Amino acid sequence: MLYEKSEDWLHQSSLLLEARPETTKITTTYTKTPARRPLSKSAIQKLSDANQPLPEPTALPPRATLELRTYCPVSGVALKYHTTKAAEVGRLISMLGGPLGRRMAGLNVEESGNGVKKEEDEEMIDAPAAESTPVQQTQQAGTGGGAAKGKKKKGKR
Amino acid sequence: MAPTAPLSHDEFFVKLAELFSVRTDQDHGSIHLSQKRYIPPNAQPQPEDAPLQPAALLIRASNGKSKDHRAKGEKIKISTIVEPDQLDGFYTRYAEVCRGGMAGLKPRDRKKASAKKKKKKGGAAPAAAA
Repeated sequence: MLYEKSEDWLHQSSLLLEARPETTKITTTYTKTPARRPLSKSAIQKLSDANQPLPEPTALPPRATLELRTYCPVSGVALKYHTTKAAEVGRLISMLGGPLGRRMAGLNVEESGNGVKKEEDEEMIDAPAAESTPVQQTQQAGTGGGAAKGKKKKGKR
Repeated sequence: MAPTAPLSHDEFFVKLAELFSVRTDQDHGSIHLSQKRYIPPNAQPQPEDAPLQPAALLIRASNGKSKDHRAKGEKIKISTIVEPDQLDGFYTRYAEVCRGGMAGLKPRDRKKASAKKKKKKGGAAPAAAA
């Protein structure tokens, strides 16, 4: 299952790790793809038939994505989170080490010091908040006449 | 491929940075990282209801090359073992290396954010006037 928010992913992953710490595995995949797909053979053929010059390859930097996946082969549960933002990397990796890594290693998260315990508490507060935010967002989009805005955003991605 | 012996943390980070640097030069490809509980090969199986014992974590990294690439020796597969008491230190360095290596991700766009703010301000003013 794909989660929109990293907090939700973290929460569900910690629950899974708590249930099956011995078999659960967390995979992180960093993928880079060229900014633009190369033209198909038929498109090149069309351009050359029409005696038009081939468009120059774009100077755009390649796109990269980061996928986090928590998977338990015994129960078959797979939890995923996707991002393209560089700002999130540090936080995500510290999630892998902090709450999730400690659970995986079989360490008691509560006993491990204030920092981690605090995170746990925040996470519990965050979870219901995360559920309510999409509703607010859609309301704003509706009242602001933001349907077109939403489309624009999708296109930019 | 025979399983490679786990590296020390220092070696692992050096090799991981190398792995990422290859990716920065090319315009496509993937890096796979994974973490799981490390169970030594000769460990006694635990009874199911036994309380969970602290264990080390096995961290793996690979460039995901297979088949032809493997035959050419292009496959890179490294691993390291992190003891429970080293977790915090390891992950701080791990995060640093990853942040440095994952340079293809979108940087925070401050221009866009400020433009949006301006837009909001601009949009709110006529509404208030009306």
